[in-house]
Amino acid sequence: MPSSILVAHDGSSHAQSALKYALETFPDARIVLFHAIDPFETSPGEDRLSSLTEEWLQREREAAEELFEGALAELDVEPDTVDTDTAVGSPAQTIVAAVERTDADQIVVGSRGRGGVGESHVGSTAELVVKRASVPVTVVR
Amino acid sequence: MPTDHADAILVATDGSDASTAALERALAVAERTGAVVHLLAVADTAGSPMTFGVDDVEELELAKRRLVDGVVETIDDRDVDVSGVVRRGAPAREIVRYADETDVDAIVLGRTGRAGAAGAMLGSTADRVLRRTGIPVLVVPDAPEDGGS
Repeated sequence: MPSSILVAHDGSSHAQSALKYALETFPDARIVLFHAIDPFETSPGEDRLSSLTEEWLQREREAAEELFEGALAELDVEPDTVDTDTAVGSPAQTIVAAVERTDADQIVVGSRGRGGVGESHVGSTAELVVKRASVPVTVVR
Repeated sequence: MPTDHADAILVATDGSDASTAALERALAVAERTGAVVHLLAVADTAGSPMTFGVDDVEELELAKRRLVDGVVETIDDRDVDVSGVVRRGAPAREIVRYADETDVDAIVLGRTGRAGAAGAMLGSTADRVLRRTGIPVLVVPDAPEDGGS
């Protein structure tokens, strides 16, 4: 059985379903809640990339903290029962890399992230993670 | 409440190493949760450029039946309720259809099937299942997860 599960969260409802699924399905596992800080993601209302300054990174890390807190609060989970982790880079790459760093033996991801287009499509991040991960991956809708 | 989450698990098998790893994962979950395991093999009548004759299909289906029965036999000693099923058609479509019909809680399958690299380039069965179902899908790589360490 998986003893340590990496749950990737980008703030989307699919990611939230993934977190809920992981908590319910593996109640005894250690959960590592992970957020990729993607330098190539533009937020709505912003038409150009952020400059990659220390301040930017600090802001992104704080935003990730808020994301984690919000996600866990919504599911009535005590924040200190879950580990968290962030990394800078493309979501798929950083998720796959985080597996080794955090010693996870399974990944749970949402089927689509925030940037998805059609409802029926699996996001490119989920597909890439499934292709590249060295551990089993559960994709949750 | 959380432990009865997975009441039924569908595992697709084609005899590949990855599907064996997928089955092992599913059994581990089932042993813990008491879930029933459906082991499904699909006689792929859609994948070949040749048209199948009736005899070929029956032979293929029989081979899949033997595969499933053989696998079920090897896990006889496990404390899990496993039923073997064979369907014919396009693998991904049949997997999704069977999952809907039987109302399983999760689908478990290997990342690369016997089609190997060529299949992966064209889009594997796993990819197609992921795109077509709303049920959680667990994709298991064939490589041992602690390989190299």
